[in-house]
Amino acid sequence: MPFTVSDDEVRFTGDCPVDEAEALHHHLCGLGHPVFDLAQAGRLHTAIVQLILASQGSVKAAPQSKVLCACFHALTSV
Amino acid sequence: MNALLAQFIPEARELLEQAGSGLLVLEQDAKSKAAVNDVFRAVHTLKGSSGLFDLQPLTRLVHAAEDLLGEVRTGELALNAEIVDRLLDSLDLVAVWIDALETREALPGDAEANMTQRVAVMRQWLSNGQAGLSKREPASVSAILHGASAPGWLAHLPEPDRIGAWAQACARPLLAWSFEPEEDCFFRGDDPVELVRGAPGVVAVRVVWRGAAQAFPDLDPLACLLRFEVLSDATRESLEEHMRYVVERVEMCAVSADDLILPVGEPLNGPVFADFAETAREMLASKDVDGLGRSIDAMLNLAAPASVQASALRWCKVLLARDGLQNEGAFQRLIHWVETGAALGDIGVGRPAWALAPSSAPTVSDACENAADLALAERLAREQIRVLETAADPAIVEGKLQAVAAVLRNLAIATGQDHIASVLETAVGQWRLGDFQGLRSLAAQLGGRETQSSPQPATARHEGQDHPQLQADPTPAPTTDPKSVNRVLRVDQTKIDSIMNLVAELIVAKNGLSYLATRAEQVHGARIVAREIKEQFAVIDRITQGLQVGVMAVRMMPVGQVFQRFPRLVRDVSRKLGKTIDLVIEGEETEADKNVLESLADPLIHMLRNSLDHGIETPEERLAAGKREQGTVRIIARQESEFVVIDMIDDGRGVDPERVKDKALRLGLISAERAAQMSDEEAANLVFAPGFSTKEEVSDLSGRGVGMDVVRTAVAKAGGSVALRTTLGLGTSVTLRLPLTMAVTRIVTIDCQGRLFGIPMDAVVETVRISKNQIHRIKAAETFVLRETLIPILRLAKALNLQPPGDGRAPDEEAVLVVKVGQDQVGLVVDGFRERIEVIVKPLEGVLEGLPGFAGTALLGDGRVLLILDLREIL
Repeated sequence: MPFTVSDDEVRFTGDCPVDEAEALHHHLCGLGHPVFDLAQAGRLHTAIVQLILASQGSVKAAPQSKVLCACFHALTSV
Repeated sequence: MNALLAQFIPEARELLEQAGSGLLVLEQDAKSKAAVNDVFRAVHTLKGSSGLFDLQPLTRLVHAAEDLLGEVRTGELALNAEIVDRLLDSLDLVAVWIDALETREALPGDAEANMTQRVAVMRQWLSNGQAGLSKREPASVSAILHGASAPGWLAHLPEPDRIGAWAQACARPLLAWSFEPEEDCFFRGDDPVELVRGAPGVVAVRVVWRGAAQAFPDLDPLACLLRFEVLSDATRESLEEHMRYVVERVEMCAVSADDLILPVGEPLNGPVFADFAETAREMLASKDVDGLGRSIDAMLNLAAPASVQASALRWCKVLLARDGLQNEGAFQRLIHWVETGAALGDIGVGRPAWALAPSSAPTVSDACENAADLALAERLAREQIRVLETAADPAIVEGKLQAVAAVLRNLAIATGQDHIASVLETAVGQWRLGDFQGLRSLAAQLGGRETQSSPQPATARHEGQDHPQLQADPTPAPTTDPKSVNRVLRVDQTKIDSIMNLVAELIVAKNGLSYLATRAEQVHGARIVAREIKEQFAVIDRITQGLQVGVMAVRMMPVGQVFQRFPRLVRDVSRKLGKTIDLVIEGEETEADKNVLESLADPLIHMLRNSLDHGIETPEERLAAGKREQGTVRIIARQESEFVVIDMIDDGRGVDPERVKDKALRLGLISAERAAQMSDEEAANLVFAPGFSTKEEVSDLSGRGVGMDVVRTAVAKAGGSVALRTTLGLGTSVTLRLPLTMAVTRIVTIDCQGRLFGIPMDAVVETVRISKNQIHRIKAAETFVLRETLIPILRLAKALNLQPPGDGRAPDEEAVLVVKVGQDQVGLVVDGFRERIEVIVKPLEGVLEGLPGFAGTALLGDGRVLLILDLREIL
């Protein structure tokens, strides 16, 4: 699985395809205020990006991709 | 493997078969609407299904094929052989990728390159003279580009990004484009973030919810609800090319450097700003760059960083640093902004900024608002419209306008609609000039009217088609009667195989009861118990047979599944060889076990290739022989008893027995004496000998003549037989005969020199007992006559090199098992016949592997191992 959940922290490693969206959705529904570590994230599918945005959590470490960073601008500035 | 992927793979294969077959029909009848619809549906479904996975090259290739078929469907593109070839080639490639997915769960490394090359060719057809312009040609984008205003969302890009972009825009205009993917785009394989990420020249990106901000748990994880706003320094053409598959979801607009000078933030009040404005204007007039710079720095220290004044001052610094005071107009507007906390009516873009607001899209940082507060805000906003429209003394008009503007600004900020706040002042300025529409519109938007009626941008005008669920449809959805639905359950074949194996084991275990009954009676003298065991055996036998038939029925598939690839094969091969060949298929509904069908596929392909390559003549040869120019290959399937029989008949040149014999002699496959004795049919069947080929010229179609040997080996392995009949000059018929199932084998057990052996029942013609005087000698060979047919005799003991246990004298009466191998009947002399049973034949393994004369072993009910004879080898 390209992400791991520990307490409220969700850490992504490598690419995360759309297939993981439902699993991530399930995990995020159970978290209060998730904290995302995207430093090691590769390609994140839009469905994954959207879930992270909807979670209204915060980004602890931004992804390397400029576009992904921009996607999470609102979260990083929380 | 991912369960969804495991389900996708067989579905994809079915869709590919369906599309391929449909294309061949279309090639014959280009006007067939049913065929084009079938092909389009199959390709469309495949594209949609592939979208569930991260298979971009596959999805894009199929998408391009779908576009092409879409044009064919609407009559905009005339189908020709070249297009069919390209489509078939693309489908073939997808089939290869599906195989790769099955084995490696990933597409091959060269998938992207292969896809790009094919898509480019297909897209070319869409845009050239053959088809007219594709529906997806971005004509609408051009119109938007040249005719529309800079979008209001530019103000919401981070200021540092805008400042960076401004510097680039000073050199040449940038493109501001927004992209609203379709909600179900994930199912079509689209990944909008990736698309944006790969877009050329991205300078800044903003992502917003296209409607209300989404939150858990209601968010549908597989519905795309985002909107992307991008500033780019790419050319329009390159961007259109990149976004070509989704161009209808994109709005583009040219943006000048001035369009980006958009101070944002909270407006502040205070005389200090007016003083600054006065001083700044004087310095501007006197071209005092240094003085203005110092004043700006001083004001920046005073103004709150988040205020709109601070933002305007930062812009002043940027302008000053780059161009000094060259852009005086921009300075004037920025100074006004610092002075009043609001823009001049024409600041930045020279047009009513309220008109640029793209939507009421909340940013992703918006939390869900309290519903009651939101309702109150909307009510207040609507009240402001009433206040504006109320007649008033001219002396208080300006005060009323300022008051309304202040309320609307606060409402905009409170409801998270900052983009309205940023354009409000422009609308107020327009009001002063007599244009009332802008402010009314903003108030209405804040009042909830706009957001309810037009939340989508112009690009989503077709949403009724794209999102039918959004349309209020008073018609209740049709209810489905579950009883009327043809319900199909797709099950992994390994599960069925597992059940079949258990059934087979049960059948073998059942045979143990029969043995027990015999033992109870003969060893223990318990006749009654023996009878009861036999009664129970009969019950269990009936149940197991029912079970076997049931499982077998699940495994039975129509042979048409194997045949459906043949039209394509015939088409491609005949075109390559320059022959005209008609393929006729009959009996494709005949059913056989799936394993049998799989074992049939390769032999049939070999046979068909041989027939096309070696059998059917060229048109010239056929005409010279007085035949029709078009050759015919007929494939006929039928069920005979417990066998599926397939005839492949061609009207080609036939096999020349003399030529075959000559070749066999030269290859050392037969002796000259044997060649002289051979009938024409026997000679023709030499084509099944290993390494045999009469074709001098090696062909890449049917190989080096090893095909027919492969056919015989594969068919024999499946427990079947193959026979060839031919008439020189008229054609050839090859008949495959395979058991309906390979799981359980019915055998007859025989005694030979005190040992028990099994012989498959399908080889047994009958059992007879003959007296010694019925055996005739022809030279060294023994024969007997059975219903006027001379049957050669073979003594099994001798064939197996078994020593007789007794005195070696022959009995007065011989037990003869008449068996058939190929076309030949042989009387097999054994010591006695035993029971007929059903067994699972296991191949010989370990040290026994390759033991000549034996096909395998089977376990008997009493635990003994039975050797199954391989009659073809023995005879």
